[in-house]
Amino acid sequence: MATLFNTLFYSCKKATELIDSSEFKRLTLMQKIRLYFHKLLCPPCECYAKSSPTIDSFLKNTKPLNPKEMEEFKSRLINKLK
Amino acid sequence: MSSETENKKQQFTTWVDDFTDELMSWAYHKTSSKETAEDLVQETFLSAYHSFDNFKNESSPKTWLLSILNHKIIDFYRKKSKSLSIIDNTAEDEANNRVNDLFDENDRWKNPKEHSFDMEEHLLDNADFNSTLEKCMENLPEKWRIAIHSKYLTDVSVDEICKQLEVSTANYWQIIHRSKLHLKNCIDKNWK
Repeated sequence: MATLFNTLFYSCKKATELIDSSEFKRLTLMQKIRLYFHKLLCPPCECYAKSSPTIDSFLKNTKPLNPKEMEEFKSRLINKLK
Repeated sequence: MSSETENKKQQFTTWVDDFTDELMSWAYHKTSSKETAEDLVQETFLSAYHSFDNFKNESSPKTWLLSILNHKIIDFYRKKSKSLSIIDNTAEDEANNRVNDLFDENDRWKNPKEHSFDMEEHLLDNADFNSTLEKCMENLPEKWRIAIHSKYLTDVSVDEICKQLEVSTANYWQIIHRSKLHLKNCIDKNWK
């Protein structure tokens, strides 16, 4: 059963790969259709498809230090300069 | 204390206040490690402090500090021995295994999750969430972290990143994809 599903609509491993790869290459119409049905029938992959752009935005917005750490780091620096 | 030293200290206090954010971001983008970035920025200010006499007001203080930082970054990569890349290969194998382990023998999710942290971009304002994300990032092999950071935080081209990391373009996108799988799983596990 799982193999038939995989053959028709991809495995979850392949589906998540295609979800992320749509950023750098155009999927063919056939790939899109198969992926569409995969997500329709597979809530965890639908969930992954929603999380993927959220992770992108997290990664775009990470800062090395939070404001409190930054203040502490600055005062450490100033103390060193003596 | 002479008034000259006092002036210099005053000057540096202002610079630390004004430029630390930017220097930190730059060092972090370049090294992908918070600790390394802190060390390099600290060394930058110390070197600048001791060679303050060389600073002529021809360039802006920010440009001057950035050029010192860039030298520190180059030194840092020079000192990093080859042995690190061997360690990183092991780390990469382990990370690959962890990602493969998310799927069963039919390549379907082992622990399917139907709800996640999607649509919650405000999470980044949450300090606890940030530290979870940071811990999850730390678990990535260094090469993957560099790939992620250069992709999302710098304007370095994909070709350039691939050359730096000595990977093919296909391999690079595979790294990005696998890092994202790893991060999603790690956040799902550790963030409630």
